[in-house]
Amino acid sequence: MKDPAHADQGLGKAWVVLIVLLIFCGNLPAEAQDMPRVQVFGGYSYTRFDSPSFGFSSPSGLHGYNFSPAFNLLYGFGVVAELSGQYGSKLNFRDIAVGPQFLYPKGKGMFFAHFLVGDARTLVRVANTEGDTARAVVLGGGMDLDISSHFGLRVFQVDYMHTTLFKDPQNNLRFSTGLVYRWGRIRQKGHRAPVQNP
Amino acid sequence: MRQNRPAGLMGIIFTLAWLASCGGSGGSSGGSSGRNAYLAIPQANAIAAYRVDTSSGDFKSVLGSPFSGGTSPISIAVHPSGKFIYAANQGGNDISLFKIDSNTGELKEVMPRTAAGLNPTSLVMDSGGDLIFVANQTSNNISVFSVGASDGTLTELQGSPFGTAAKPVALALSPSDQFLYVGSGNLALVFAYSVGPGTGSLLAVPGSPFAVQSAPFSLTVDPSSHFLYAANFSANTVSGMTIDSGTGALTLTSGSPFATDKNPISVTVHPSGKFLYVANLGANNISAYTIDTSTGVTTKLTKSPFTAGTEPVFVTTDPSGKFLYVGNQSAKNIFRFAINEDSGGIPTSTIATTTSLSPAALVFGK
Repeated sequence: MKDPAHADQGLGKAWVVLIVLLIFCGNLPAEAQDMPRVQVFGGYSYTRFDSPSFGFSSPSGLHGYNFSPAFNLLYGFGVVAELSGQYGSKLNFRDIAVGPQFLYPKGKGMFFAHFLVGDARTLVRVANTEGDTARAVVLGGGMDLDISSHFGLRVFQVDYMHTTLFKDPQNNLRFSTGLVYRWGRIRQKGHRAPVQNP
Repeated sequence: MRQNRPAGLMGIIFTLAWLASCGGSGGSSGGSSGRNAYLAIPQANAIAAYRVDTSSGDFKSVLGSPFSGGTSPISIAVHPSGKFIYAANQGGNDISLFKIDSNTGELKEVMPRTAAGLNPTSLVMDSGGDLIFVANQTSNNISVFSVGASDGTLTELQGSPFGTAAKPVALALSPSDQFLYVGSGNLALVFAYSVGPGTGSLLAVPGSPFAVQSAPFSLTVDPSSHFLYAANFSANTVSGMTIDSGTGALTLTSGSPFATDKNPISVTVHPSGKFLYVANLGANNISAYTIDTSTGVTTKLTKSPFTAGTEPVFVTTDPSGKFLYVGNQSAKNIFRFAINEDSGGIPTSTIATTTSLSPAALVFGK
């Protein structure tokens, strides 16, 4: 089982990343740019799981993956689904959720926010293994950075996840990072593609 | 302004993350506001484990609880390290050792169990976690075990079991660890022994046994090791006795025995040493008294007795002295009373937890 101190260290580093990006992104000039029609994100995630709700002495640090495809219907608005799995020595936690996402491009960055609803399942290895499934609500966002025309780096994604496993509320926090594959294009209304010289 | 949108978005994310990290149900910053509690449930052959919020006194069941153990666990003790629990299994004539998972709160029994005498009914541990004493009701003796420092395993000491009163049903070890007191279910007597330091051997105290009243089913010693109280089940009284600090001999305090309500079955002293509480099985209530800490004389609180649940079978306080817990046999629940630490009064109660079967004993860990 991960030492709770590691969970707090991960949280502390995430704060530093957030603050640095907040300062950096505030200075980027705004400009119109195309937006991908389809995005597929896959990467690593770390979850600070609210396991005191299960009777644990402290929150659990879980490691796993996050996979989410998104389809953007309009410029700045789309639908995203996610499938994630988080694992620790005493418990694991998986969720599948879907909902709207909002995007805002800025320079080489793409900021996004989303609100997802779905189901979460946990298995806890105490005595006999206990499992439960419950509704999950996810509220979060992050930032992608262009690498190439088809690939981006998800610099960070932060999600607050609320679940009610074993009939008790849990307030969980998840950090994700990884690669985004993009294709298709949506142009902002009123903007044309640059005219090419004959 | 457009340039502020990302900053605003980031600010929202920052706030969400901060809220989630600071909130959470119970103990999200390392669990420092809670302690553990353990409940013996004989009919389930199990020990239930809880996390207790030390501010509210609320119980939260640990996932996977109750944890199976021996046959009819009737008396339990937690090692001072918080790593082990011991249960006297009345039906199995043995002692269970459980290891406590400090993170999950899970209990795992370590097999094989340790043989005791016939029908072990009461188990106490010394303050250092080095010795365990078990009263065997049918074999009329006391088993004494040493406790392994690293793994908690029990080893019966040379000379054990030690013969004692007929039908020993109650044990109390002075907090000084010097004297062991045994209540006889058949006789209106308390048998007193000095405990050999380092050996655990029992030597009868000069003058033992000491007269109380009929059926002393529960004994307790105050935190200063100056006074012993015996709940006399059939006489509806409590005997208060002064302990000779040198010999362990007992003399009745002034005004003792004093009246309780019907069938006092369990007695406990508040950690401050200032209050005494008695569970009256036949009256479904709790008698409460102040204690004169210099003489041991008790005075009933004006509003005593206080209503408990149906058939209260044990009464105990949490280590902080903020709450009084009462196990109700027929109601199959645990009452929680908030203690007025100035007067000792327990005017309000709530149900801390319910159990599917009758509870028998409650202890608190770390």
